[in-house]
Amino acid sequence: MSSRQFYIVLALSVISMKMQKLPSLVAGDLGKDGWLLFLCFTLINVIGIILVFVLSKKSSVERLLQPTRNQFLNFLRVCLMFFATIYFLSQALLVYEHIQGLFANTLFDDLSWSFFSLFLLFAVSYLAHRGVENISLNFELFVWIIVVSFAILTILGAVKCDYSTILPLETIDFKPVLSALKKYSCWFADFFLILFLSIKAREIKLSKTLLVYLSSMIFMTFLTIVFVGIYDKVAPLAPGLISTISEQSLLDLSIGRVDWFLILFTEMGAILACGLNLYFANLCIHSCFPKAKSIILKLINAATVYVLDVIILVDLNKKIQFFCGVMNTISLVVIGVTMTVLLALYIFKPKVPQDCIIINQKAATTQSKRKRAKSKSNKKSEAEI
Amino acid sequence: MKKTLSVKIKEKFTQDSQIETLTLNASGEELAIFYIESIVDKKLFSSGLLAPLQKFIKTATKKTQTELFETIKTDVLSLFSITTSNNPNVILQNVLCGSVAVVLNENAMLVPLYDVDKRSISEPPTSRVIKGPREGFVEDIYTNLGLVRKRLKTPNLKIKELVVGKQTHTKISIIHLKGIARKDILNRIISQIKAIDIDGIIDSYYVESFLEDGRIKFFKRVGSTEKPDIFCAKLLEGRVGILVDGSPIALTLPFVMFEDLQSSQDYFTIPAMATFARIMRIFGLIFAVVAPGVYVALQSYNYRILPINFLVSVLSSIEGLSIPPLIEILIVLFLFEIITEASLQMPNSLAMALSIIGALALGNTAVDAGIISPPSIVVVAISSVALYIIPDEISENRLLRIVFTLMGGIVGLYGIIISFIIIVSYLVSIKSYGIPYFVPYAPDIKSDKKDGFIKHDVQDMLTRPTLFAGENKRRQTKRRNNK
Repeated sequence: MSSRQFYIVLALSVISMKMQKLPSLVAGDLGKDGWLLFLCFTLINVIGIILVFVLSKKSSVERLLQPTRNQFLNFLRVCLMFFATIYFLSQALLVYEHIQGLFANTLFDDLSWSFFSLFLLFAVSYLAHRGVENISLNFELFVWIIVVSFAILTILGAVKCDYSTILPLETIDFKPVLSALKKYSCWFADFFLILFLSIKAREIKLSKTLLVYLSSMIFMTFLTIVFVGIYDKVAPLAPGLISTISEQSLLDLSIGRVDWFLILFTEMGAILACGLNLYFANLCIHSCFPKAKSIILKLINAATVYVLDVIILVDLNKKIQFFCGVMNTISLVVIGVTMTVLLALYIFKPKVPQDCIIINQKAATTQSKRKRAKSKSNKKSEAEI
Repeated sequence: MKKTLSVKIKEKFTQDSQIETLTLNASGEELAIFYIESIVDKKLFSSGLLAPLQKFIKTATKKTQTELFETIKTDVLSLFSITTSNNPNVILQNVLCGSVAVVLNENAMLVPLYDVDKRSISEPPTSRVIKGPREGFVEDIYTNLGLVRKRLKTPNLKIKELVVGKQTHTKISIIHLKGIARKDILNRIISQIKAIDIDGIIDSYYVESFLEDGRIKFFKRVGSTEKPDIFCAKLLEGRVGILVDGSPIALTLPFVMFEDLQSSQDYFTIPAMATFARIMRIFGLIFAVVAPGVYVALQSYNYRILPINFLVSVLSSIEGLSIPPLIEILIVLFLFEIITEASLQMPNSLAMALSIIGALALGNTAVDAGIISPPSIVVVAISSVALYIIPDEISENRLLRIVFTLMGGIVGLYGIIISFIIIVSYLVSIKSYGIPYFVPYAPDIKSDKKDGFIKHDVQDMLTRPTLFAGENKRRQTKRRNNK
């Protein structure tokens, strides 16, 4: 994966995974102050990203996926990978469920989701099977379609938004925001995604990664403001951000809901993000059970997403408390603690294989230097000819 | 008794009435001539070969067999590039390929006089242009090689000739520009063609089939063109070209999807117009493939997207239809496919009448009978016209159109977007000789995009496509009109 692909995947998956049901759920808990939650999580993730980069300087991130001779380390590693599998499966599940939410009114009132979701399951499983390179190429190919669609939808929403609904800022109550931080943390462990993405990426820089992440999250915060600005008190009842943000903008023009096509384009980002999470879940589970056949593990993961969606998340609003509770325990306590211990052990280990991101970066720069030297010699020989 | 060479050849040619045999007597030695009348240049044979031989025989003095053979080879038939052989199989093969074998005792001279009536050079029907060269390849490989040589007058143009097909012995020329094409790709192509073990190569498609990787061959992975100017332009980009005797279609490798969105017309117009045309082509392609599916999806499930007035007019036109939208559009597509296939097989004189009957009479009657609605005919008609915007990919797109229609009919826009993602994801994974299918857009290669959707001026295209080119990557040293 090239650095360009890394930044595109990062930006689009961060936005795509949060753009649907989450803002209306947050609006239900925090009302007009929901945007603050997005900003708080942005700051937490910025610290997380810096930590990921610092740790990857000291140790190899890729080693998290490979078995080690030290049995204690290996046990910790397997624990981490197992919980990471659950984390990524839950992320895939959330996006999967949100896609149903998007088409719920138009399609799945008449058709059975439990049957027709198999199409989506096949698509995301296929993407996950093809791997992160394929997903990143897809993201790269669709980047302009998705970005332009987001931009138009945001503008359509922004012109109809009443920004005074989020005012006055002095009345912000921080207590519910703090409790919401705990509740919704499973949606926001973006640094964890970056950690796994960085394994496959070349020549990525901390400054650019932060810039891309901050831009994406600021955009997401703005989208939430617009969403709450339009719907105000009824925002928690809206089925999702992206399908409703431009709903009222085109009413006066009597041209129907042509913005729906833009929503569909943005949905491509969600499907790809779902595939990406399922891919990482496959990667993690395979590193837990390296001897098992990878295709069987992939099928188990896909089946898990399907079964959980059909049984557990039949109605996300009702079961959100339970889901978030379980996921927060996993994402905050287990993953956080295990990862810290594991990486600390790696840091203090004297001999560490030098194949981390920064080393890759060095290798890449030496490679590019060689290439430059080669092209110079080519030029010389051409000139001689 | 030991058989002479001419007897051995005659034995091999038994039961072939096409073989002509002439026997002359030169200074007491028997001179046998073997040839196939239908594939040799008769004029040259009689005036350039037979007449001088007869004249020589009349005046020939007594010589040894070797002296006689050498005199005929060097003095009498000196105008021809003659090869010699004493192997009956080699002689037989050469005669079958249009040579005249002049056999004297145990040796034979092989005089190449191949000439078969061939189609004259004309504009190919699949890639017509308003401006630009109108020459097209023909079925004769030597004419085609001449058309390439005419455009690339450089010693770097290298042609490797191979003969493939146990029965057809078809000549295949692998063409590249030394230093510009990548050696690894060239070697792989040569070894792949050498490995072909088939009884006959009738057309370049047979070779194409052996060059494609993977078992699933839904999308084409080998470039093809009928125009020598496009062929040469692709060689200049670093691709390897393949010409097959008997086929007017030249193959080029590696192939990327964007090639089919480019037209030779783009290079004979201003960049802005070329850009516009390319964007139209991609929109046309997407429209052609997706339109019937979207129409069915909108009519079946997602009708709320449509403006009220438009929806009312559509609803009024489909009023009274008893069949569901999916079946209706499938009927129209099916009818269109039948008409297309029939018009391809039919003689030209009947094709016009058929299209009138098919399009007007059948269409009108079906609408009047309430079997199909006018909007569905309009959608399929526009989609079918749009299919021809990229003539090289019609077959794939015709099939894809049915897939999208089915998905749109079964699960609406949800199905279309899912199918789209799966198909693109598959396409993105395809590589042609290690080159990703969606280059220069996925992965993104900035310098190669100068000949992409937004076409730059030729002066700006300083380098060849990054992934195709070998050592020599530069087209021009610098821009002439520096700003």
